[in-house]
Amino acid sequence: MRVTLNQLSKHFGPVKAVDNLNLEIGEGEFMALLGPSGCGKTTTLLTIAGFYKPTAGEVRFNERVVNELPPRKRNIGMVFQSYALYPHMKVLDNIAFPLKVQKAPRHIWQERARKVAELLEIDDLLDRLPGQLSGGQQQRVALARALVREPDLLLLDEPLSNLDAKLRITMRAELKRLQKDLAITTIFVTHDQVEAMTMADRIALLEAGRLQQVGAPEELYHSPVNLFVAGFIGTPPMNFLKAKITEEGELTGEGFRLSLRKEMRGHIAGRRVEVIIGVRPEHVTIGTGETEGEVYVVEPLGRDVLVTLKVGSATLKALTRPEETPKAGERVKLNLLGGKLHLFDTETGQALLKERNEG
Amino acid sequence: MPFMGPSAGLVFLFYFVPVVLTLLIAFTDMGRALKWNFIGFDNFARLFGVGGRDPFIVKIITNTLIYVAGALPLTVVGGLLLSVLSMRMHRGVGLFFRTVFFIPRAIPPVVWGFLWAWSFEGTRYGLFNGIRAALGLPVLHWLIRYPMLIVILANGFLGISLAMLVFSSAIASIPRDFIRAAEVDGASEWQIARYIIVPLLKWPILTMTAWHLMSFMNSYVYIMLITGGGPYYATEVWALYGYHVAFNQYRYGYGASVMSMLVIVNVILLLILIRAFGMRRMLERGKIEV
Amino acid sequence: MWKRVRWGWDRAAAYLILGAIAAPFLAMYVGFFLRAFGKGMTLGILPKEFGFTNFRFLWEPIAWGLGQTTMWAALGNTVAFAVTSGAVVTVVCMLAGYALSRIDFKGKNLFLALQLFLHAVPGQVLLIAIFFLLFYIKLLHKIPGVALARASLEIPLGIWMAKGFFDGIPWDVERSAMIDGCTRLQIWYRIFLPLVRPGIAAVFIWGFLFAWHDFIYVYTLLPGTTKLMSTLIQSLLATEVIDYGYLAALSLIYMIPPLSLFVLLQRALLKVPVFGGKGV
Repeated sequence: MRVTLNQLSKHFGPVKAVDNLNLEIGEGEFMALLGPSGCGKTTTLLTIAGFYKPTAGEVRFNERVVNELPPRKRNIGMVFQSYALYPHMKVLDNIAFPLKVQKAPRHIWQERARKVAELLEIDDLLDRLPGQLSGGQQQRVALARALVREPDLLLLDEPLSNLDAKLRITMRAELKRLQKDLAITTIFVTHDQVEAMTMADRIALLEAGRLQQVGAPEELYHSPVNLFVAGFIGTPPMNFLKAKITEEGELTGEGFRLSLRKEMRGHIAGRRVEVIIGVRPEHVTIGTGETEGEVYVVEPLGRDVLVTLKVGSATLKALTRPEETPKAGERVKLNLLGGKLHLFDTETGQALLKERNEG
Repeated sequence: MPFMGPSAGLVFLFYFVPVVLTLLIAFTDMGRALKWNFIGFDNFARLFGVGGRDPFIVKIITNTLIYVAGALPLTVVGGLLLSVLSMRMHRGVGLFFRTVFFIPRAIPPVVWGFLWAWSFEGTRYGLFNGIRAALGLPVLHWLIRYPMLIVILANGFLGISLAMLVFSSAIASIPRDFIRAAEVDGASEWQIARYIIVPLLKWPILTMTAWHLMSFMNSYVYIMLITGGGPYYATEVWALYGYHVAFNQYRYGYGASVMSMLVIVNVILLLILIRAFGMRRMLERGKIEV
Repeated sequence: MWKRVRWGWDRAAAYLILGAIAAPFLAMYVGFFLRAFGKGMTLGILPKEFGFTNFRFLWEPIAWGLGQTTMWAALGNTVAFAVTSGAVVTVVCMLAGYALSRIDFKGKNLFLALQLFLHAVPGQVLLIAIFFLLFYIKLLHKIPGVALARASLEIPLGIWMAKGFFDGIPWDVERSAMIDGCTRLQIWYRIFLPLVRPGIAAVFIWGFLFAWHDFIYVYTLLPGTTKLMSTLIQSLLATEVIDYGYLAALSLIYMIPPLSLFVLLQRALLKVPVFGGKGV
């Protein structure tokens, strides 16, 4: 089932939780609603589920406008952050509940519930009460309950937040696999960009109720359309430096001077003089280059080393291999043009051009 | 909506309608036959002494004032005293005392009435007179000679049950450090009570006073059980009079006018109290708009 | 170096004062018990002998004034009255409490404020009107009618209690049930009620207890021939010659059922459900 959000807005009094959101989720797609707390992603999810009525705009399932449709008639499955299992019912009854409400005959709901339980590998827990299960097990039960009626749409609200780190990584892969196998359109909400990047087909990044960018994970990573997206996606996050564009076509800032190639100069829209440069830590190489900096802190991460450098009065982070680790206090040469360079407008934060720069 | 229907219906039927009805009936001469005619303000006139006053009214008003003036302080001060003392002593013993004084509220009104009626019975079969007799003392006719006192005590200690409970939990929530600081400063128990504990109980004291003021104004059941209003109107308070006029003398119209005055006073008092105390906001915005 | 005197006159005074005030009451309570089981008094408070003759109402009919009945009949009436009243209070308050806790509707704030207000207008003052009202709707002199009137008095506070219990259930559980296809009524019945069992017990005990103890409504609105325990005791109290031991025994029997009910429902009152997950 396709889900379309047309100019969707949800206001709570003066607060605009969701502001003019336009989004299309395709059949069988795994879409992530990503953003920091308060960005409106959960509100959007709850509106799609039918708990909130849109202040403006519409929600469509396939072609049908469902603004007025109550949740119980939407044929959706939902997993809440707290799992919301019914504490007084056994696992089997919890899972089968949606079918029982529809007055399905006993042998039918029992069978289907068992099948889903098997699929999620919890068929040995059917007689337990929710209070006797671990967090991971509860999550599976919640998922089973959501899936048992073979819904058109699956909604997940921060499904992995309450799991411990290791379990989280396992479940990420499992959820992704499950979704592909079942081919159910899925929307899930998260504040963790790693989760979104690894699981989703496409990501919709929201901030303050507005859609910042929607696209495949690689798109958001390599071609962020504004400062917010660039800074939110990617860990460790992108470095930002203030710079000026000189008449000679150079980017100058405190402690550095970079020359732009001729082709690039033409791409810069308008006659902006002050810009913000964005460079990802993995694209900053230590050893050679036009820029100089002083090593401030060295943090070994095992596979890489995160080096914090001072360039002028600005701070820069770089990811290097363990073999090339500099020492704190060293003055080193840096190459900022080793990979993509991003330029952003100082006022609007919009990306000015995409730069591919071969060092 | 089916959820609110029953409660709204019952509340309407047994609260609102009666309030209105009481006022309506007060303007009639409804009697034993439950037939009525409107007689305007005649009933109220009788109450206020216009054109032939009710001979008992003055006595009754006096009784009511004495009763409330006696029971209210007893409840509040007594409750305060009991809670302060019992909370400062050994835990188990304090609990024991509080239980002793809570019992009045835990037993049925008739039994409480029975206890007092028996304890203060005028012959040597009454409890306290029996003890007096055993000690060689003459028997006292408590209920005949001091009926108002007995009634004030009976209701006052009933009020103490609640007041003591409220004050005790308020005291329990005072941070211990305040008291320890006072102890270090050398304060005696009495001084601690006077300068630390009681001032911090300002709010519960006010609420209990307001609550019991209204309670005593309207109460008559215990008085009815113990003295029946006697001997000869000695303990007849306003509310009891209203009841007697209506149900013993079958003058429902007049009785209703007596009760109406009470209802009006209640409403006025309540409005004043709401103004004074503000309204509690225990309401949460709904998270489902369906 | 100074020694703090813990046991000075200060502390002792407290014990003395409380002891003095409590003494007469203790005498009353103890005397009450002894009187029920004793025959003939001496020293005012100690019986001459012990026995069960005061409990003869258990197998003999009771006479008062012009009438006669058995204790069992009175007990039965009281049970019927209290259970009906308690049940009405429970059902009505559980319904309303859910709506007030979970649903936004017009006039909700007003209604809640009203409940507080109503609790201050005492039912005993409205008796005349209620007498007439019940007469008019033909429910006077009948236990169900009076039970209904009595229940209404406890509803305002009962609603606050119920609402409090419902407030404790996380919103997500309710949302989940909505997704799963339940109507509001189904949610109330299948999900919320099982989860507030302690609340149901509490509200029922509340309504039951007040009805069990009630005297004035029963006395005024039921005919003299229909006796409940409270009116029975009162009519015996109003006679010329009172057998105090007999009355004490009767009172004891009167007080036992609520206590046992409380003990019975203790377990239900203490059960608190675990909601699963770690968030709300």
